[in-house]
Amino acid sequence: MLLLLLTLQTLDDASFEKWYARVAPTKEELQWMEIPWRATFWDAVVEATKDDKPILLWAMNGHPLACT
Amino acid sequence: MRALASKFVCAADEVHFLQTKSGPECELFQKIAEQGHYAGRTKPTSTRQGIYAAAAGGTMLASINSNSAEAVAEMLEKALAAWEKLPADKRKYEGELMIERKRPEDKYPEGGLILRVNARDLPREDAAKDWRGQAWNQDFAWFTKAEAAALAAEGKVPEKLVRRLARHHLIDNVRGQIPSFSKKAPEKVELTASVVKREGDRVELRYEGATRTEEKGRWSLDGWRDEVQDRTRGYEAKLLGFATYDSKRGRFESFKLAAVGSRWGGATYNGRKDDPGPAPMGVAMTLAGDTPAERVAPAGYWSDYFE
Repeated sequence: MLLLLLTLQTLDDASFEKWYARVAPTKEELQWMEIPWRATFWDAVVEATKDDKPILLWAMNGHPLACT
Repeated sequence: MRALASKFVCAADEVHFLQTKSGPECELFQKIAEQGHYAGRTKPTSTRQGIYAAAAGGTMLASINSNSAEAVAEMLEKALAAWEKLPADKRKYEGELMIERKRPEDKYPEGGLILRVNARDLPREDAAKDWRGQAWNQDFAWFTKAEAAALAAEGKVPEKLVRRLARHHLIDNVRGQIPSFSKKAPEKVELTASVVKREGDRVELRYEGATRTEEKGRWSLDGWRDEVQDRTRGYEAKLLGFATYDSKRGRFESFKLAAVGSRWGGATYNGRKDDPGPAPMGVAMTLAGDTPAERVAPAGYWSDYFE
């Protein structure tokens, strides 16, 4: 409870950007988003068929582009 | 890695859907997966998680389940070599490309408010020294255009919208996915918008509030490795945020919301068996972009998300 109280007390207008930056991913952590991911496997199947390219599919429990 | 990836059509998708459902999309994945690294596996689980390189015609070129950049790069090189040798008639999908699908992405709220949501442990002395101490996760939050307008109105934010945040997004998924809280789990859901400044059609808003969500139930803490037992999990946080809304265009131009608080307990796959808390955790939300990769449905979509 003391931990919670200490934590809650420090989020205010003056400290907002500091707290936000502590949680939000850095540019380096988001580099993987620079790859042009299609959001479904089938989108890649259609495009790969039309463009004669191989598919790279990242498949996880929980959508890899959202919460896994 | 980007150079290698550029030689492929890159996609990401949810494997449970692909490996358990029927239809051309799922059946094609199942055909490819059964040529891959987990082909035929049923123990300890039947998951087909991984990274697959394949031809749209159904030939697997190479696959791996690894988060090592070097190992994945090696796999991609191997896949490209296999692709070069693959006959032309094996490369393309031969069936109908225009198929009917029912995906949650079909319900993407055009013109609404789409937020990127990230969660991360806040600094503490006994933080894990390995990847768990640096872990973070992400999700997307969806609000319709009408709900976005309600969020931009001065006064109390409609409880329904704050409950959506509390159930699905103010949640400990830092180390791994976790089921949304049940409908009755939120005990406190308060969020108020106040106008800081108006300039023509633009209004600057400040949000302040607090939530507390706790749930008791029966689940394991470590997937199949652990026993199902009576458990408790929860998150309590203070919320603070700032946004700019264009009332003429009916959309947010900026949005940043932070939640700072304490989480406790765990559930199934969120990796807290050794770290039940209570411990500090933060959530940060901001506007998502409009790329295909940012139109993925929230993880809680199938848990009465819009109710």
